[in-house]
Amino acid sequence: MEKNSFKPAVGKLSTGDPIEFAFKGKNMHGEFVKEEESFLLIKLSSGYDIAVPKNEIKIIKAIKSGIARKEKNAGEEKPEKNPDIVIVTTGGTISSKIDYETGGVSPTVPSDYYFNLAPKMRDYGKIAIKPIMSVLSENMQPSDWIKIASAVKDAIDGGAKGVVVTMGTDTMHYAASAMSFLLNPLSVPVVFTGAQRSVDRGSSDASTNLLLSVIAASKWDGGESVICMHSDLNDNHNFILRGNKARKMHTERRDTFRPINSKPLGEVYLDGTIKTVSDYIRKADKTKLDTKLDTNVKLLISYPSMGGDIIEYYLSKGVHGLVIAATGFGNLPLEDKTIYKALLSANKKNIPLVITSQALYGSTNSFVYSTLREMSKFDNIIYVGDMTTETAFVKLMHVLGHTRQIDKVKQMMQSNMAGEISDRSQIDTFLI
Amino acid sequence: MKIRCGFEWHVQLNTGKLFCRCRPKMHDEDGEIKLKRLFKPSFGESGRVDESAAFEGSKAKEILYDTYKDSDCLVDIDEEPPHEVDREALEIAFEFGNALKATLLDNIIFMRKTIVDGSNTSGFQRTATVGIDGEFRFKDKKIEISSISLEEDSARKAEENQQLTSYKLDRLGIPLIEVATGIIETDEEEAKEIALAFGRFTRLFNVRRGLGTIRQDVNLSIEGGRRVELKGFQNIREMDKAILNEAKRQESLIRIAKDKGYLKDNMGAAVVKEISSVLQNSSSNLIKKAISQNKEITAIKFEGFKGLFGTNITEGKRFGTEVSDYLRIKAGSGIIHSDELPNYGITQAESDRISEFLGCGKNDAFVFSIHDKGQHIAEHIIRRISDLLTLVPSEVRLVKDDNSTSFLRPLGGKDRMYIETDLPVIKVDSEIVKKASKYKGFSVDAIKEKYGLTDEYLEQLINANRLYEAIEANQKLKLGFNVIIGVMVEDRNYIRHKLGAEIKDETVYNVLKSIALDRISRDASRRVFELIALGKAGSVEEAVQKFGLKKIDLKTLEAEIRRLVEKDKLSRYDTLITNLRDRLGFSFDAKDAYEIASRLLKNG
Repeated sequence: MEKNSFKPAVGKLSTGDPIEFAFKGKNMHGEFVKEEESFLLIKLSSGYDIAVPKNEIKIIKAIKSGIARKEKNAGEEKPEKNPDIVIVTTGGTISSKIDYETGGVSPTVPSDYYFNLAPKMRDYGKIAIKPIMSVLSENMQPSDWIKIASAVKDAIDGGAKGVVVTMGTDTMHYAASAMSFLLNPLSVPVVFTGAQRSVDRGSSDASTNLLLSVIAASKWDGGESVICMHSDLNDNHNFILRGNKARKMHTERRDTFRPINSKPLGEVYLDGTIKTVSDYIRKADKTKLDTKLDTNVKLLISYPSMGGDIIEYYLSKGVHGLVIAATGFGNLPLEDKTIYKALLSANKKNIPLVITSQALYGSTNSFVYSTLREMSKFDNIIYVGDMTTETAFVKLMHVLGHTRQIDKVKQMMQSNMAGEISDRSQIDTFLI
Repeated sequence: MKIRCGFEWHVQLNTGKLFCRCRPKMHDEDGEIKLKRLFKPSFGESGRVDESAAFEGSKAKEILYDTYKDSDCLVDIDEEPPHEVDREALEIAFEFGNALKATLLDNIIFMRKTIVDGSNTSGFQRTATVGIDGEFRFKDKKIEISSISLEEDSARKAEENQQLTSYKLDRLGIPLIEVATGIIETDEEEAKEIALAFGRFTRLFNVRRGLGTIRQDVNLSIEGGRRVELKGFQNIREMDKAILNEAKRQESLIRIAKDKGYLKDNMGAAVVKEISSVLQNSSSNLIKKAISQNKEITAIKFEGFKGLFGTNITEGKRFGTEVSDYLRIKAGSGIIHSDELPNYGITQAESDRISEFLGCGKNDAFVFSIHDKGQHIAEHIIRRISDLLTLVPSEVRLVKDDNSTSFLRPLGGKDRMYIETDLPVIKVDSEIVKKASKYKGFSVDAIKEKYGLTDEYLEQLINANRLYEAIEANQKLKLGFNVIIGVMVEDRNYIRHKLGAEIKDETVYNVLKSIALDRISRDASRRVFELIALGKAGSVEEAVQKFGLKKIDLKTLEAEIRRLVEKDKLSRYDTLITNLRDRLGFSFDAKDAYEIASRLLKNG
């Protein structure tokens, strides 16, 4: 067999072209799917794809089908005028469509896609789809949060009674948390949702999540930035979670988002009902958009042997604020002199160090242990109660966007702006 | 009857699950954790929605899953991507491929086959072709094997009704080998024999045993007809009956399409009317119930159709049944047609009133269906009749307990498959390729011939799952399968039944070795097993030493027998053996004693 005999032919082939080829001493027919590093993928008439190593295949005949494969059914819905609900889309699994021929994932979808996903959402009012970006949430930047906030504000100004934001789930709790500071107060619910399972699956959670989020956006009377995802493994009802008190707690499960140090605000059911579970912030008369964010904030986690170098490094880079997810009540390994020294430098430079707990649940406390009492001598060290690390990180950007004066930063960080700090630690808010 | 058929055999492998490390375990009881899921049609596709997938999806059912802590994990409930493929399963797939002389693919791609009836929690089944172009020998017939695939089994259906389907997830994910044959020109009897022969063949491999561990689909057509896929054969031994029924059904439909196909032209003018008002005062329970439940009764007039709906297709099934079966799956209700009236409490007078209401002439027929408001029943009925009058509709049909078949769903095409994006192309390592290559040309006949096994021995060893162990022992010890099966299977079963104890493989081998070395008699094996099972001896050697089981030589045995025959004047074999056992225990074989005794007694 000639080596690399595939080369001249393959370059011209496109997906779906019929080919005849020799492999393992047999002449076979199939459809060209795609070329990978060391294989050609070929679809047999049975529908199965096979991987044929390039150095083992000889293409005998390749027929250009000449049929340009273009997106069929690329339906764009006519944009609704004066929509009741606006769905702001940003990308992520919920907006990713698989190419059934090549297995590739395409991040852009036509607007009718969302209506196919959850046809019933039309029962809850006039709906407009507003695509503003197409990113996976791990790549989302603070500047993107501002874009989302602005799009939400536009929607509200346009008369929307509720806004749904779809995005990837990885950093949804950062974005939902950011919204609670960028849009404060809120005159409509802003409902974040996404999908844990891709939409090509009959089992995808995308449909129920989208529908239930639209229901929440249309019927819930809260004026908050919330996350609306599965409450458990059933396709039955979703939680309405305060965006700045929720967290992605599982890599894969559809009920990954859990309330942290709080209860769900509500539950929304497929029949359109909403059950209130705990107190929430009612709709305000007006929504205020505040886009001042100082993104020069970094996040650290403390651990045995961490050392102070990393703190010194960020200080040397001119960081404006640091959040440290410390252990337990908010302890740092202060016996390590390098850490102590780093804290002193931060103090001298007036750089706020916001302490949260990597225990995830419970509040930080600066008086229980001597270490903590030692730490609380530094006035740039700020304990933020039961705020989640991610929320503290986002909030610090927001606060530093307004002031860098340490006492003011401390005062703002420690006061409750959008429900991010609870003053009561309720008994039944652990591991919901 | 002459048929053209192709098989798709699905064989469960006796390994862990294909994409997680759960051990399968079947459960009769309800699930420990129950889940509710809504299944949607595969939306988001760009145009190419598979007909069968769309069909199932359009039903939009609620699915309940029974899950079990010991046999299910997050992968089974589609809350985690697949783990690595089970190595043992891959190896067995390669063994099958080699035995079936297939061209093996050593780079495996798993595909997602869309299945939205809920039987796979993900909405698809993962499946990969591992071999193509093989053959299976049945007598002198070479049956072409078009593909050998490795796939995951679906969940078991526990309950189904119009609103809800429930599945047990214990079976989900068990590795299956799918073997698809090419087209076989045959008859129903031979088709059954081929299926049985393949069943025997599969048992040469590490496959699961018992009800439901082998399942088969049969693609069937007859001259002039079209492909129909039969599913759900309960009993292979009655496969010929189901095949014959289906072939006859196709024959009838071909004839009807030929003779009455022209009637399709009349269907454009079909009159469709709601007839509740006509049957308002009916005393038929069926109608009374329909009216009380506020259902609609849609009737359609078919010009020139008189007699067609009542035409027999197969025994007890009429043309009307074909329409009814379809509609029941599609819309949840059947039909009643004029050829079967009066019936169901509907009187002749009522039937006449419907005819009149629809404006039926004497050559016309009508059909009506009771259904929920708002369903487009007439469309379904007209489409089905039109399909039936064109040719045998190509579809999937379910084999019923009485070996008749009924409509299940449209046939799925290749569009229902796309690449599993959660798994890479799997390069099968050389160790698997090498180990599995030993199975080249492997078959029931080859094994019998190579190792000198009779049908009976082979059956016994396969049933006991001891085939390879026995072959290996016989190659080493040369005791013959008679002795090996006796010790390895029968004596072991005896101890299991009598003492509820399991004898270890090692002990079995040591006993066989001791027999081969004339250290103990063949008859002593049960006694040795018993002593070990009861804890009276720790090893074969200890049992021999402690309980005097060492085999005596034939001369000593002969001397003993001679003494009994000459001094005690014993002349009956049975008393002779009993006496010998009393005196010598299991230190000799009864068989030897008979031989010696018969020689002595003859000479005496």
